[in-house]
Amino acid sequence: MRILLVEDEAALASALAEHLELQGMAVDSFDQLKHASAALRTTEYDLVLLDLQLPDGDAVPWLKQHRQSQLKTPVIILTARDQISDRIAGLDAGADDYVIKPYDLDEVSARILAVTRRQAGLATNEVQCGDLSVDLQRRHLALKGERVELTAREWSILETLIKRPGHVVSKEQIEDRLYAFGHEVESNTVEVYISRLRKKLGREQIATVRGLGYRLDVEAR
Amino acid sequence: MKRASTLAARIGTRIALSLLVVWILATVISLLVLMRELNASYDKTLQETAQRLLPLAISDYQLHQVGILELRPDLSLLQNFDLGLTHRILSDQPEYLLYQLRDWQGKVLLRSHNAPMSPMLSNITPGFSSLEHFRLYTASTVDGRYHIQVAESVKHRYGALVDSLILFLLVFLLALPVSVLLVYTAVKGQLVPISRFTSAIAQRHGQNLKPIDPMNLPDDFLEVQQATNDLLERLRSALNSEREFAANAAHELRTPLAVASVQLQRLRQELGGGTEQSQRLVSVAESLQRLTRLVDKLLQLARAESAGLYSGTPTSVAVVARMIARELDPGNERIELLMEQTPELQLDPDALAVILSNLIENGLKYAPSASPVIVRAGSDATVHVENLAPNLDADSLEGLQQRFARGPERNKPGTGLGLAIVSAFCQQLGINLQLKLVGSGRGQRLCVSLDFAAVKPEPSPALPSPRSV
Repeated sequence: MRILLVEDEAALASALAEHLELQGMAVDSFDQLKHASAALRTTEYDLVLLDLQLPDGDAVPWLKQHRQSQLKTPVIILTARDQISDRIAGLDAGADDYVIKPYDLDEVSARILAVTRRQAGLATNEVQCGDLSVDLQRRHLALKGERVELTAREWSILETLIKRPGHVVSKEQIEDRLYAFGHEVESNTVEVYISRLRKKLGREQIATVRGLGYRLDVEAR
Repeated sequence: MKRASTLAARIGTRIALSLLVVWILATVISLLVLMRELNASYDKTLQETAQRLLPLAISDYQLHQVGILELRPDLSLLQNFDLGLTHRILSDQPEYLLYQLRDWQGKVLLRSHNAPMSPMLSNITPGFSSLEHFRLYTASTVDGRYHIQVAESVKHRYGALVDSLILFLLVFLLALPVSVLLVYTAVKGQLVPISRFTSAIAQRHGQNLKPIDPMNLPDDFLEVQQATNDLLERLRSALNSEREFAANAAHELRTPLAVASVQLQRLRQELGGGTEQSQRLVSVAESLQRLTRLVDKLLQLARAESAGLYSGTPTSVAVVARMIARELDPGNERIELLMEQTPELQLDPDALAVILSNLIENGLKYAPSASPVIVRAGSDATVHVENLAPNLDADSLEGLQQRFARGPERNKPGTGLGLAIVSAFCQQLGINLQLKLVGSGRGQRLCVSLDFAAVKPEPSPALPSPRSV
């Protein structure tokens, strides 16, 4: 993967480039917008990492202009500006994501992967767990392609489990979730709902880990 | 009298009082002049009457002396002759006129029926005299043998004056309220631009520092308007530069922190785990993180003052909440956004972000591990941030509120500062902030409610429609 890094802080640029190169990415680093423009004209990049405040100007209008002239390369903004309006402006100008300085290097590489994957049309809100396909945004659940209806409490519990697939979720965590939504919780409430969920989804989907809690027993893809 | 407080009432009262004084003075002067003129005219009439009566009275007296008048009363000139005034005076029994014919010694020879037997006035010098109740004129024959004294009742004479006075008063009573009303209306009408100007100033606050539009003000107020606009402009630029400073400070402070952080991470990657050096680096990294958080909070606090200065497009609560949720909870594990009917607010998105991120951050930090933090937006311009808080009691909630009401608590970095920041922003923006506990036991929740009702879009700067007065 070839990455264009536009960052004027040399110590930051070099450390980030080193890190990304260790991940197997090729990084071209520039400290000015005009050099970045020139590089974009001559080289095909998979992604642009863009600092917002550069010696030869603000990167937001620069990005907007390049988007208007059909720049398709995904762009992640790296900014030291902490205001949300700056981030909104960056996204409006055509950025795909943003990372705020100081950042975690692993976070940056994770974002790079997520953005390039999304660019390839892979990522969605849907979570696939074996036979289960769950759209958390739309609250849509299908088992082997068939729609399954859940009550609000059942959703609460399934969400808790599905957010950490393969991990044990304690009974207390599930109870907290029910409480947080203002539901009444009896001593056996969680057991009751887990058994209802098992009826709807199949017994083998949710495993009981004795003394610890429950686990959604399918590898998330 | 209650002290009038509005300018219109004050000016109206002053003008009405002045009008009253001028009117009274004018009335008194006219009455005095009228009195003089009336006196002169009455005196003239009195004099004429006396002069006409004199020959008639002498003739009657002489006829009476020779006894003819008793035999032939029709010969009496005083009784018969129609001589205008004389006739009126005598036959109509004018009670206000009386006369005495006197000889050169002052003896009363003849008198009207209403005149006394004794002389009304001791001397008989021709001319006017004033008695207690009468005005008297003495006319004499050329030879000085006969004198007539005609007296007119002063009461009668002044009756006419009293009539005039009453007339004046009536006009006065009728005209005064009308003119006061006219004055008040006129003054109020002229003051409309000024009261509009005043209400335009009253509408200026932390969130509205727009210059005041020209509004047909009288010249004396143009300077005030100019000065007000200059002041607003200065305030706005001061707040703007404060804002810019905070933005620049954020960049300048975060960049070196980012360099340090990235270099540190590289160092840790190169060293690998397990060594003593890598343990030290962990504590350096933690300090760096704390420093970063502190810088964040201080920058946020520094922005509270200028937070109200926003005139952009309305901010969607949902958009801001989603961005914050993504930053604070990248794995989407704990934050629940219930944003079915999200309000759009005329509010700085950055201010909203600061408020929401601090509340959500607190929720994530203090709620039992892995329990959700729920952000619920209502259509009625309210946003609630809820999380489990089983260990909080009503008293400490009270303390929490008092604490941030007093200001930031710096000995507990993060928490005290976070709520202090939220409180400062809410105060600045007129947002009603409330903390309450819902439920009990393990299910007890802390619900922080933000009521944005007061942050509704500004009424357009157009002037309020002029009211008719």
